[in-house]
Amino acid sequence: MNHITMEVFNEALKKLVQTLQNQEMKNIKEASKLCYESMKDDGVVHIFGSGHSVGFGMECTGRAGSLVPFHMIETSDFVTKGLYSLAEFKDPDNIFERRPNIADKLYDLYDIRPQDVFIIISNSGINGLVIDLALTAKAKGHKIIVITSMQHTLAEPSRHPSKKKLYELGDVVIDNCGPRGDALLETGNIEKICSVSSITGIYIAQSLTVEISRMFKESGIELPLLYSHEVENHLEHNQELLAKYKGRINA
Amino acid sequence: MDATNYFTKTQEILENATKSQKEAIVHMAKVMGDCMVDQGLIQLFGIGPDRAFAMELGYRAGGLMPYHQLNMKDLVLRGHLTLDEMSDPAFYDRTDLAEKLWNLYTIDPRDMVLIYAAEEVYDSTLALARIAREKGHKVLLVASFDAILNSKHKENAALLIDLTYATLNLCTPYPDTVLEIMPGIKITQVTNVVGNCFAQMLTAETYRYLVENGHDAPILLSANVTGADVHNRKISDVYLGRWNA
Repeated sequence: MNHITMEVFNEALKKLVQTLQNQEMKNIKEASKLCYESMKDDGVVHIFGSGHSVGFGMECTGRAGSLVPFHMIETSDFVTKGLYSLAEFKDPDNIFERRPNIADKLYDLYDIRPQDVFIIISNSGINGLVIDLALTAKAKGHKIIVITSMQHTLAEPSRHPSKKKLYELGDVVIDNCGPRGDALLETGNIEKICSVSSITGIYIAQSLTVEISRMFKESGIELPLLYSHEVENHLEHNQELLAKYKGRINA
Repeated sequence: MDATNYFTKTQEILENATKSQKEAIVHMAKVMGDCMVDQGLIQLFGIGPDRAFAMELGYRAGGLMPYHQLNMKDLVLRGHLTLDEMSDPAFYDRTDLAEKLWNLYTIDPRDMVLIYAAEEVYDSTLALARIAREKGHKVLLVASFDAILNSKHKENAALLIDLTYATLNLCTPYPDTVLEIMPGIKITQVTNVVGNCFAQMLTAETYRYLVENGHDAPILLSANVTGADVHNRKISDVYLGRWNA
């Protein structure tokens, strides 16, 4: 039985975050460039992750210090917008995120414009829903940024009828550098413990914000940023920006 | 400035927070471990973006099973509220929602409630904590204390802290913006990095406490690893009707 403590986790996490920084910065910058090109043309970046990956979208949207033209898509939108019943959505024998051939319905729920970009997050990158949304968005001509665990996705078979995996559909792919199964620490039994993809996901999400903001600043174009209460006239500024994207971002 | 500045700044804040809260993390893990030994569930609550912490602990690959999320969105999914109501700016301060939410689930007397508040303690959050205390449940709080005690709802924060059995302070700045892109204009947040790391540290320390005291520590496998479904269903069926009810 291995000795698991918060210090053991911290040490392992520190190494992983360092790997992410060393290995993925080039891809983060390329992804930021795609987002910036879209946003400067009044585009919106749509973020989709099912399960806990929805946290990536939550991290990008709706807070002071965040860029406004991010839109978070949630699988629960299928229910709240009346496409599926809660019972169908929660069916334990037909797990929703694994189903193919329904993502086009999800795409059609929103005001998506030609210059918009997609960020699709899936640690495994093997499930029907994320792969189908990527296929749909690609077919409509959008650029796709994929965030996945390469170690995990290469170790598991695709659940999509095409046998494709999400990373194969990305114009830019960012490896979250996490292990297969997401948990970092060996316990000595079959199960590993302490997952990392949400943490590395936040580093990636925030890094995108930094890089996109830097590109806006260097171009001399006004940054579509939500101001904190420390900034004078922040309420008027924020309301004006939110109104500009109304109907295309989360309410 | 580039993204490496974010990594550096965040690491610095995280290291300081971890050093400052080490004993509090170990203590909270023990409290949660005792609840789990007693077959209790830890009911996780955070409103709006504060759901992040609940999502990091609840039904998570490499996490412990005995958690359940109290999710305001369930009120919409189950037809008690409309999406428009949830989008109303006054939504977070509707005190009637706490009881509605509580009544959606089967909450056992052995359960405890863990609340995450990154920046604000809204009226609905305080109302939920009061219901939990009135019904005899322990309330735990993970929050950025600088934020909640200086925010618009600071009176709520003080009242909530008085109700809690144990707390963790995220030790993050207020407002939660860390890099200056232009004079006086800041971007990026750090609170949820610290929050998610604290969630995983709690997992590690709760696991250690359970194992060192001779108890089972039911760990979930990633649902995207072959064979995980059978394992996960076996350990979650113990809480059937109470979990994801």
